[in-house]
Amino acid sequence: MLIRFARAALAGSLLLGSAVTSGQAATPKDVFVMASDLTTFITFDPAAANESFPNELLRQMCTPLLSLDHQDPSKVVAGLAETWSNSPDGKTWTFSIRRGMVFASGKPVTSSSVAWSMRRSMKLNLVTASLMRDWGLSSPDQIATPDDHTLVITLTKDLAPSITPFAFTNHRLGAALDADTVMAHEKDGDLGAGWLNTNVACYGPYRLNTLRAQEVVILEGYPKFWSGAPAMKRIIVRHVPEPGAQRLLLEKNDIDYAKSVEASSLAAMVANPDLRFQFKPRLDSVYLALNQKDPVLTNPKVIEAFRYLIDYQGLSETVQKGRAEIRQSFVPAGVFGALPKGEDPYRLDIAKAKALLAEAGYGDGFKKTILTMTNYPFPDLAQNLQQNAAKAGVTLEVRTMATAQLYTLMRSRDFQMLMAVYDYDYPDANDMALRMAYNPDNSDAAKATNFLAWRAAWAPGAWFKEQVETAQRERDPAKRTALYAELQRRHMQESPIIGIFQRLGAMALHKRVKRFDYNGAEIFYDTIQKD
Amino acid sequence: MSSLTDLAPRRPVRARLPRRVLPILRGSLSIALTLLGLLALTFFIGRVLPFDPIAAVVGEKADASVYETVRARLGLDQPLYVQFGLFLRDMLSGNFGRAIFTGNAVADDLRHVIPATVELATVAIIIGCGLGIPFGVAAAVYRGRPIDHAVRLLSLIGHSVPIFWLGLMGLIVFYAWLGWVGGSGRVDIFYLDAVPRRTGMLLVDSLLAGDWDVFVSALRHIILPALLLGYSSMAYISRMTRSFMLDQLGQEYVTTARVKGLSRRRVVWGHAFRNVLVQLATIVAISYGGLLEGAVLTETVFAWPGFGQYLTTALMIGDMNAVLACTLIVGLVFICLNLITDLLYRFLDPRTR
Repeated sequence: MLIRFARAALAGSLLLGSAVTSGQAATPKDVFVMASDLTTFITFDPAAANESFPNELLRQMCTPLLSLDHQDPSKVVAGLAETWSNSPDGKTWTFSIRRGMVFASGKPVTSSSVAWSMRRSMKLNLVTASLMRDWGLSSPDQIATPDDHTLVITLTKDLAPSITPFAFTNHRLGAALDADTVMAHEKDGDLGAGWLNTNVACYGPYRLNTLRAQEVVILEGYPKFWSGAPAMKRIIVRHVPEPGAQRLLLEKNDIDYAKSVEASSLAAMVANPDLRFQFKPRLDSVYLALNQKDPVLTNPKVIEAFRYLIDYQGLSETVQKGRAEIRQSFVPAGVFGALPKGEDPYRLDIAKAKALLAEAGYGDGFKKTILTMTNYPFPDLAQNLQQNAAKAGVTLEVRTMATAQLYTLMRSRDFQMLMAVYDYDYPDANDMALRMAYNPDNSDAAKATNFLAWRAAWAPGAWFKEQVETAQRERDPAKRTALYAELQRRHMQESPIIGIFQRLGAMALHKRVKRFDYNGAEIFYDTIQKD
Repeated sequence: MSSLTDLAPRRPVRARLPRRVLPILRGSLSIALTLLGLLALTFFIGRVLPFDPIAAVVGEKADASVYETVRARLGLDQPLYVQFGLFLRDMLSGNFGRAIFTGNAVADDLRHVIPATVELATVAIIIGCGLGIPFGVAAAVYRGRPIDHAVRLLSLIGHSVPIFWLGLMGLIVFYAWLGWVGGSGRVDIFYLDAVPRRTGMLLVDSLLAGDWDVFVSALRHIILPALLLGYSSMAYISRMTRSFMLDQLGQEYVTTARVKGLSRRRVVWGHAFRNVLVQLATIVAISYGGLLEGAVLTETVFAWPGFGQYLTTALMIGDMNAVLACTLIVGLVFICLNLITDLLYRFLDPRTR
């Protein structure tokens, strides 16, 4: 609360005196300095890394088998593997690993390096193992290395061949680890997990130089990378948790990139000629979930009423201005299978919501609790809904909490309503459909916690199941698109998971930064260029 | 010929020892029990609160099997008393375990954050005492006069204006506009690790290394947060000093001293002030202890990698190894400050010797 007040105070004061001088010496030409919140830094282990920013850094140090194109995330390009092919059934994938790559230890990067990393993740059974199971990769026997430069992976799931390559663009799943270096630091049979919390033994354009949580992270260009050392010889990340302080550093020319930008500062920052902004739609959905264990919220009329109680337009022009776009379908715009932009059928309509509630037998309203995260913009979004709901006779109590605490309640399905955001893994509607419209088993015992439908205790029924499974097997892109379109339209009518926004990534850079590749899914440091 | 004392019956050594050792033993036992109670209370409250370290580790995408693996790895599948017992066992062997949110050994983390906080708190308390004591004395001596009102106003502002707001204002004015001080962090980024780490306190380490550039950079970075924290301490110290001094200045011995013709300076500083030193030592110790606990908001605004931010983050994700180690440190700090204050009492007040 205090921090929020402080931020608001800072935003106000910065507006008063936004003419911050910028005559300081700039950062060196071959060093990229950024400010970010480094408060928590749990691990750099590809088998376990889960946090957003540590993963962004890890991606620069662990090049995966395949890579997303720097500009267009729907295109898959070469990574550790120069070429790749699949069997006719789409289950067996063969990768031809580049020659001549060496780890910092001098050991060669081979197909075994990738295979060892995958098998290690399976054995440790941490976050990446869960990710691998999603792709039907759960046994070491599914990975073969006929020679040092050939890797063969056989998946159990029947997926359209256009989907599967995305699995190998994930650096946690498809990275090469230097097994000897990792195992030299093994302790009590942990496969080097303790050491990898704060060290990196991958192959990529950058190497870890320094990591001090709550202080600084320094990456160093790796001169033996296959395409040569990156232009930025060093990436320095300063720990600056306060977005207002990040802004001061950027405007004062002390950093090149501010990771956190407050919506309230955005307009003033965009107007500053010394700064440069890049906006890109992100791969996510901001949603409202109504728990189907609650008998009131199970009523389809009540679910529909909530769709009319969200002020999509108003919020997008105020709280979310420049930071998010309306997106009611679960597939973000720009992704394969997404509905065209603007196909968002719902508007704020309190009279209609009231009528629907009356039809459902709740003309006198009811009282529910809505949980959300403490960070921007969620408290504002939830309060806005609270105000609109009150006009329709529904009393909502808003409870904000730390994200980890919210995850715990999601996992135990211990909530009535919640408002949150889900970051998708890859730019294909299959990922979104699985998370939002698919529930393998709605029983408590199933604990299918990685499916949002399960978390909302929503059993979508046979039609949704069939549609999701058919679409993920369909080879014809036009037919797949049609299947997803139908799925999204029906989801928007029936699901208790209500899509609201797709967020926009806002990159605040100093004008001397000439190139900064961000494709909406990943940021690439190796192509950064500055004057 | 033997003296009379030689003839007196000697008490056995075993009987004499306890008279000296017992109070020490009793004191140590009391400290140990206090710390144990503190740790137990923190641990059980921490476990009752709805913070789930597993959720922080696995995020929202991991399936149930991963969640259970992490639960077991963190030892959270054990009964609470076993978890606490294991922590105590490890702690007695000097091992605080690993902090979840940094991936480091807690002891290593503390070696980084404690010197940062000690450095900031020490500069702040020097500023706080350097300003607060003279202001408090002046306010008492000139009670009801403009200087008293000015000090009261200054203290009131120091007490009531949120320190993070002052911090942000300070950054805008002195860093962004005037460029007199450094921005966030402890030192300019390009001086990081420029001097060998000896104490972990950059001002000291740069002096020891004879590197003036780093010293100046560290000074430029510490001065604003230290001034703000010092200002906040000053507000408290000056109000308390004023109150103690007023109490003394109303005493008969002060009147007597004045009647005897002693100068005002002599009466105030030589007599009245000497008599408030004991109480003042307690106040300064409490203020210093508070600063050593870490000033979370100041640390956040100035990106100061200190103890307060570390402890708060640990608390927010239920990282109990880090929380308990920090609790122990805070407990020890206050115990040490109490002991130092006791020693100071003996030095300052002959009656307590």
